[in-house]
Amino acid sequence: MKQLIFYSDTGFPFSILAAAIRTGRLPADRRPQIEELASVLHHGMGKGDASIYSFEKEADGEKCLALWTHGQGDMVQRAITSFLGLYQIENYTLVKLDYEKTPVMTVGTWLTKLPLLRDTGLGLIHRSIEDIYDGLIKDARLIKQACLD
Amino acid sequence: MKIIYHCFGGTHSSVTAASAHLGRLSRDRSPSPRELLSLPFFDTREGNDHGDITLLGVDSMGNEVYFAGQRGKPYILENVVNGLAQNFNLPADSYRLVNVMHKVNISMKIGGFLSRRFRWIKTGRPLVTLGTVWAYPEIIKLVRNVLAEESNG
Repeated sequence: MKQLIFYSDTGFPFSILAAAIRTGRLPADRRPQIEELASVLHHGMGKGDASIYSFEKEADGEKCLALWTHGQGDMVQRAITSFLGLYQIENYTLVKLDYEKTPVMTVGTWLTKLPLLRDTGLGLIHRSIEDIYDGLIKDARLIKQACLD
Repeated sequence: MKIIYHCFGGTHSSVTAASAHLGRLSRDRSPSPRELLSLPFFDTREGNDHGDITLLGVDSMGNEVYFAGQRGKPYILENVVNGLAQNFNLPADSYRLVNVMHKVNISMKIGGFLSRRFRWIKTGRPLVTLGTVWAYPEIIKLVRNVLAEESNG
């Protein structure tokens, strides 16, 4: 099976969320609770510095990777494909997610950095994620089929 | 071992360092502008080449020598490469990233920017070439360190 690499370059860890849905850390049949979302984002908030996070599905041990950045999407994709190409690694699928970071997400992200307003920030992020969550689930399912091919 | 020299645009200091590593430029004196301009990839790469890790040649020890551009964000290239190596079980000692960007002088920065970004090649290319000649002693120090460490195994 191909290794799946989720990537987003729009300044928010959408790729982390997609990887979490795929590996069961976030629900694939309903929208997440705020606590579920918080537990995943705590793992993947980072700084958008292209650090690679690994997710593993407990049921079958399937792994997938996720990284995110603020822009530089073309450069990062070339770095991934050319570096793996140096080792003749081809059994992977790079999936770029193009969801936009909304102003509400930006404000929410800032607020999560302030201890007293962390919950408010998470609430704003949760509300924004709910709007695109169905799309993320749909992407994950389509990708799952693509990886089995 | 895969040795990857990287700098802002992957077309001046990293190409120069990789060429010196491969012995295509003298390690005992600074090159002439003509020698630099005759190097493959010198002042020719574009923004849509950034991130692409390109093979320049194989050195006498059998190391593959590459160069790449990272848009002044070396941590992105380093995180991608190190993260992929870790997750695809590639040995950490099978590659080496060498950042040449801190050897770049102001003449190289301005000339490179004019030549590559604004395409003012007539103005930018001589400036960046002269800047590279001036920066060469520092670049070659870095290359010598890499070569010494590789030969010591």
